[in-house]
Amino acid sequence: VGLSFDDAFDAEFEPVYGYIARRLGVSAADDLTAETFAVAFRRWQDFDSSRPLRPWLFGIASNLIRHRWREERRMLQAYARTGIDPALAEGDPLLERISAQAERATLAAALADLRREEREVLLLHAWADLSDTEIAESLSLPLGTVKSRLSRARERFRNHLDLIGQVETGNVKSVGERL
Amino acid sequence: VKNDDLQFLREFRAELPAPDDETRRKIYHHATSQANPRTRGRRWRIPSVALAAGVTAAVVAVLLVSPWSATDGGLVQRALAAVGTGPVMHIVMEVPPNTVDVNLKTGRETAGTSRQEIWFDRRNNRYQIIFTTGNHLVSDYIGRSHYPPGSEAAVANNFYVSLATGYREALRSGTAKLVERDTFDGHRIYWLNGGVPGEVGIDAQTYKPVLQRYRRGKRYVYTRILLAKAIAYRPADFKRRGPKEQVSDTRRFARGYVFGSTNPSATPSTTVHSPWLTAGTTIAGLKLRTVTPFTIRKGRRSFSYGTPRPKLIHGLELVYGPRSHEPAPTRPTRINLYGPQWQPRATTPFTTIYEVPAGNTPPWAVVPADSIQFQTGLTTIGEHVVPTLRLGYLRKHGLYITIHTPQSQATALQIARSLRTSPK
Repeated sequence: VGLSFDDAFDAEFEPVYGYIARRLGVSAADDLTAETFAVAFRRWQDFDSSRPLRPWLFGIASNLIRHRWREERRMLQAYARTGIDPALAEGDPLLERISAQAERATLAAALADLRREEREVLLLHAWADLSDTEIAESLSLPLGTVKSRLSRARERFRNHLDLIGQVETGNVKSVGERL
Repeated sequence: VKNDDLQFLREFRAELPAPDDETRRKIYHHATSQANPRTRGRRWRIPSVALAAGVTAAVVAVLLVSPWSATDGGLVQRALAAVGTGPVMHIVMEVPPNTVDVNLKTGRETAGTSRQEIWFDRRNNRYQIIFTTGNHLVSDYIGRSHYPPGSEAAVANNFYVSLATGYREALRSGTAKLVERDTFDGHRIYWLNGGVPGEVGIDAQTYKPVLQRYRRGKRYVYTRILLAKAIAYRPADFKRRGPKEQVSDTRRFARGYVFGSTNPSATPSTTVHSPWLTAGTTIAGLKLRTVTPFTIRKGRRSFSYGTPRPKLIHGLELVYGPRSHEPAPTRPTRINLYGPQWQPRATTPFTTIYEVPAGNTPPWAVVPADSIQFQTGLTTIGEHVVPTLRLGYLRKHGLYITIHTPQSQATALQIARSLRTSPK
């Protein structure tokens, strides 16, 4: 019995929306989640239901996010500079009261400093909960490439956290970018 | 700085709020109304030259014989003429009823009929939307669309408003296309797409819009259009009919989520104290399993109707369940108590009663006295759509009561009738 689009939407709407919202903010998440599922809906008969759904959907989402990498970088830089989470600030006002924490700004700066392709692999792993194999399927990359990118991304990310953690949040903008 | 980078990232991810039900609904509509999914089957590869020749011949043939060609005052032009030329689009729609009011004493049922009336002034993108259920004004909203008429964003923004904002623009710009000839209730209609999510059905004789449909899973959901006419501007059309506080729209719909307890670590009890109501320790074969207080916090923009508007609402949740060993939930079930419900699809054996102080808030405020209003959720199981969880709304002893149950309507009615004040 094949998976229906409705079932797929129900199961994956929140993970996809949350992933995009975290990367690009709530407004962009509205648009890109709709576009992700619109693409999925149009291609639904191409989806091989014997394969896992999530990598396929996140592959679509990743392609859409890729076009907006400058926006993502700006958002992370803004977060790093101000300590105010842009993704939250435009979202539910109930949650605006969540205080911006210096360590989150640090994290944003560390993410901003990653190469685009490293960030993509790292966030698919950490935020979309995809395994290495699933990331490879999502991005149509060899498994070895994914493993090495992920390993490099984590190493660089950890190094940046250690490095940035020693400076004031207000100075984070001086950290170089390699996008 | 934490050393566990992945844990750190996951905490960062978890800070974002879950999208609300209205966002989910809009995104679902947007995704499923943009294009029909391709049908499965063998794909024939036709040589491109032959394909091009075939397409050209077909287009020529269609242009020669079609009654809707753009050059001979065809279907789209006739549909445009039927709408009229005034600056204000006036729409009246009968929204499919999904509620029934049941009198608690007699059991008599009255099906709810809901109407939406819209005036849209295309010169300044201003609109007024009035939503009524029965004779009750549920919402009255005057606002401005921030999107150009007919744009993709305007279409996705609001399913119903898009008929006012997008349909005529699609006819004027020529983007509206005939997609199907059909018969509905014995009348011949043409289905046009463009400018709205789904399609608009126009009467084959008058060319006036009579239906709007969109696909939900494998089925269409239809909305009857009672009036769609471009009229002259009249200031009175843009005056508020209802109390200002009784306002909602898709972006500012009231949201009052129950998803946390004032004290999540507290041991669940089964004791109910006044002024809260209880249906007893057992009702209709269901046993009272847990009683949990909850609070709803409201922000300045997240709660647009309902008076008074305290920052904090204290409520009580009672969970009734079958006499099984299945553990009852220890935290309140996530539900948008004051806002629109996403179709509840998950199955649960538990019946939950939510109680909050009464205010002036739909849906309870528009339920007739001594009645309970039922809304039924639909779940797709295989190819069938079946009613599953139902929601019952009633007012009793100064409280707004919501009953959320997988049980039958008769059981929900029995619970509603038996609710009584607890001893102090």
